[in-house]
Amino acid sequence: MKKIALLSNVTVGMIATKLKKKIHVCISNGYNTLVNDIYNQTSCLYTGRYDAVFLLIDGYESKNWDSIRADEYYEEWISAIDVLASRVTDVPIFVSTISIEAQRICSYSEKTYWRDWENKWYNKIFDVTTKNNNIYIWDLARVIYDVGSNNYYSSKMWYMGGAPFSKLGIDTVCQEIQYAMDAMFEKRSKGIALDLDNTLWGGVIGEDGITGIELSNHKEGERFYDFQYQLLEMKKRGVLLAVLSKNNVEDVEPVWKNADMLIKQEDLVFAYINWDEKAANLRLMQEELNLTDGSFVFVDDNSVEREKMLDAMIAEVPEFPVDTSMLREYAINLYNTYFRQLRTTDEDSMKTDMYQKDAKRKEMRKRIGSYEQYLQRLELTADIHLIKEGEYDRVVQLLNKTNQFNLTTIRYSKKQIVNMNHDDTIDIFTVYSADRFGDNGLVGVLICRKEEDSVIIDSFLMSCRVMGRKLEHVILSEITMYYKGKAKKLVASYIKTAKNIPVENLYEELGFKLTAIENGKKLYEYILSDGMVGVSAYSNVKFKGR
Amino acid sequence: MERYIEIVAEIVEVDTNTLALDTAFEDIPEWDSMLTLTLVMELEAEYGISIPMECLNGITTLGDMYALVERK
Repeated sequence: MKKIALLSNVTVGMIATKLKKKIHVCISNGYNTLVNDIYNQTSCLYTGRYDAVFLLIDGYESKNWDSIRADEYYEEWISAIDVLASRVTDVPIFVSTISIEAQRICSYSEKTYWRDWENKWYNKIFDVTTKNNNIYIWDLARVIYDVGSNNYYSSKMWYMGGAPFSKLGIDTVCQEIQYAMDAMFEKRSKGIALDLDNTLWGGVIGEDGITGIELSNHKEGERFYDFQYQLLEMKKRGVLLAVLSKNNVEDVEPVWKNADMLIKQEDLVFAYINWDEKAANLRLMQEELNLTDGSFVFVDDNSVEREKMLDAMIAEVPEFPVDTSMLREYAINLYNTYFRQLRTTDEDSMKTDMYQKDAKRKEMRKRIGSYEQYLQRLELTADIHLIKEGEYDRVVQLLNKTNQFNLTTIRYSKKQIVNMNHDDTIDIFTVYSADRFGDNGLVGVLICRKEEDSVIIDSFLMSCRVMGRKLEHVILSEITMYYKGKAKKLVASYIKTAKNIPVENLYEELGFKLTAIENGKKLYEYILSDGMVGVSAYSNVKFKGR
Repeated sequence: MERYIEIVAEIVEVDTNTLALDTAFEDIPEWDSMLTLTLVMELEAEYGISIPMECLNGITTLGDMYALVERK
């Protein structure tokens, strides 16, 4: 079970209780323990090991504040957060924004300070996040705004127990913590497969024609425009967009040229516009993209299509809003449910482009008969080196979401990776690859642990995008050369999961000797007396060890 | 009444048959002020009622609380 520490200036026992079946929450009993917990070196914050720390700064008490009081509190909290940041550097710390009590007795001409106070706190914690890359803003104030502070708070709970939350308030905080945990552990889908008619625009293009559909940047058509806008916001954050539509391609053609059609063909990894079953098209697309079942979220207004996709069991199938004026909120909810992330990596923003280039590679592969020739023509290069600080986020992302080309599927948090990197017996290698179509970025991770005369390959994984290019041969060939003379043998294992069948026989193919099979785990050895034969298809391979 | 006992049992995490209307809250080993708050909150949500703070004085048994809920 995941563990978090929850610190607050109000009583949060009921939140911990509510979460306890899913997440173990460490809290200090009592009211306003936040500052004490941070300064006290023996508080549970430092004695236990946590996956994350949440700081819930609540503003209910601000009903009796004046400006001096607000400043005093802010100074006290920010000083404490600075101390926390210096002591806890390896797990995410989520610091909440503050919702100031806005119901006040006030004439029309008086200045109300609550807006200033909310912004002031926001600016202060934003500054902290720029100085510490493990600190994130937890925008609870915005959530409270959505829920309504009258619904979120309960005066009775406050007067009776120093806990200001209503039942809805508690549920809301728990949900937000869960979302943040999902984002931390990269439980993200890969993309959205979208229908067109009555989904990306109103109406049926084949019947209504380009002038008859609803799609504009004002009035009724704006709901679809806004929906598309949010979908593109997701695309910028690494979400792949694809189209699965039962239509004639030529009927759809004019819509792509419409200025209000924000999503253009180049924004899509694939568009299947034909009369085949959508599940069949989705399977084709998954194959083309090397993605497994469940990678896509299927969005379609037609309940029959959704039902069929559900039956095929290859995609997430959320309900579609009955009222399309809710499309924008629906899109944001899709992001929150399936695609949350702590930070957008460089790889995320280039994702669509990368997958599109993959499609070009596939095309070239079909044209060139010999596989060896194809690899030669790709002009492949690889760069393998020990992990650098700026690579932690991407490495953790790969470790936690790679399923197919993953020999042991051991998931590590950023905290664990940072610790491992400080351990002299562990080498974490990152692998970059590029070819004539462009840079693939950081696509592979290899974790090796030295034990006496052996080097144990703890984890070996690669993004499915670069599978089938013999990169694995290059990596292990370099690794064997590197450890030759430093150890006698490589010890590796394959732990079978539902998804990593493609690499079931990888070590056999690479010349490793199978030494044992225990409960679905295959163990291998490779004697380091001979280096492995490199792969000639790579025009340039860089390797840097210690 | 059964549902009411269930709610209390869920909060305290004990079997329903260990609780009865004449059980005093202070005789439930796990009981504390936080659980009182939780109970009030759950009862308000379950029955769509509001329990005024004034009414909570003098509540000692499960039956007292149940009578209060019934009155609302």
